[in-house]
Amino acid sequence: MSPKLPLAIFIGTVLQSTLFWHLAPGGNSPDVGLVLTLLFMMGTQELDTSRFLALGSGLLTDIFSLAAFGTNGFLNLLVTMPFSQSWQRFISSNATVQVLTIGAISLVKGLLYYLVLFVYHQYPDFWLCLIHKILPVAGYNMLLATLILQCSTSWITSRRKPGYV
Amino acid sequence: MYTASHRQKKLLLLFLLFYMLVVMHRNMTHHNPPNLLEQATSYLAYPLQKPLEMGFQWGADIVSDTHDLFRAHSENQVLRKKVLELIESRNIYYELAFTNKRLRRMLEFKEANDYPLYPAQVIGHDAQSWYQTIVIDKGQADGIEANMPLVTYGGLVGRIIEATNYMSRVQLLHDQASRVGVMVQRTRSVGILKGTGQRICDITYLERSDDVMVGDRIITSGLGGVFPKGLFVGEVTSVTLPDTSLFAEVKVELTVDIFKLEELFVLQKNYSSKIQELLK
Repeated sequence: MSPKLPLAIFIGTVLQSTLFWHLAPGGNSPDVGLVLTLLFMMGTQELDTSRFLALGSGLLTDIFSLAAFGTNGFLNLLVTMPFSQSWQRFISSNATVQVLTIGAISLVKGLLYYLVLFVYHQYPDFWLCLIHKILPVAGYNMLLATLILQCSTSWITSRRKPGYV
Repeated sequence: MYTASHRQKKLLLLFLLFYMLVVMHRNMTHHNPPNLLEQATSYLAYPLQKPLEMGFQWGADIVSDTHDLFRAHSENQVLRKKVLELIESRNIYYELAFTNKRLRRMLEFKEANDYPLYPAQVIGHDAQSWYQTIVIDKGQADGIEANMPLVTYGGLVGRIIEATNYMSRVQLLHDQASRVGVMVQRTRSVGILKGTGQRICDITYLERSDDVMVGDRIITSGLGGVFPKGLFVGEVTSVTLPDTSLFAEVKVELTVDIFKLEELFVLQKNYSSKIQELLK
């Protein structure tokens, strides 16, 4: 694995935690670390490495966001754990499916996050959380994924191993 | 196909997942000081976080300043518009005040005179420079006829030279073709006021021996039957006695600023008729 990718995810996570805070203070921002990790997972066969990256980016996000330490990393790891080779093959064949998958995973992560908050802090309003947090973040993630795929299709493709369909 | 390495990675990931769950649970339930993992991650992130934060702060400041600039620009546009509106309002206010003042003086003038006066408004000036005439908004339909004098609170203005149904043309005093019988109010010396095309007009046929001084008030003499006697015309500004002439050269500044006329009065014909009767 090229060291560029962890660096990209690291910088992406930092960007998410600092740049978006400045652009939309108190608002929602895309989960850059997760999106980059998932794109990496879909474009390569290095699934385990991707999961480590997902964990790392989650932890970084926690640190930069001064959030509850471990939560993001745990959830990133959790949502990437079910990724398998056959699933990866299916997703990687189509950019739209990739984006939709990222949206779905983001949604799942958001719901799990709500669950964590609900368990530990009795977070009250599910629908409010869904409308104002979970869905917007999933939407931002899909937009970001689309943007990255559009801008760097060749780069992602070049990461695929020879003979991979 | 899983190799031993893959299995180890899987186990490690599962362990990490479990470990993270423990860490997360611990952090969620207890507010403890940062553990080793937190400290290590923070230590690694800090060198990048600090300059990035400064960079982003700088970028955010630029964005914020630019936004402020645009906002200031739009505010400036709004305020400029407001200033223009206020200037316009002030103009309207001043205009109303001046109109009020003018009309009040007109009213006072009308009340102070026994002449039958008919109010009229200037609606046009002669576009040519050959004649000094104005157009008023009253005509034959209002009883206006040729040779009716026009006055304002400042004094005599001129006479009607042409009346149509709804408007009339007025020959102003300073028109070069204008001739008005006048007299020096103080000495009662009689002469004829000749228009010069300017606000300073000449009085002819005043004897050299007539006692005329600068500042003397000039009024209409009433001779000629067009203008009633006693209307203020102007003040003498200069008196010259040429060696080669029988008459004094007297210059008079008209009291009415012809170029700023807006409202005036037409003297009704019955007054002229009375004059005619008296003259007869």
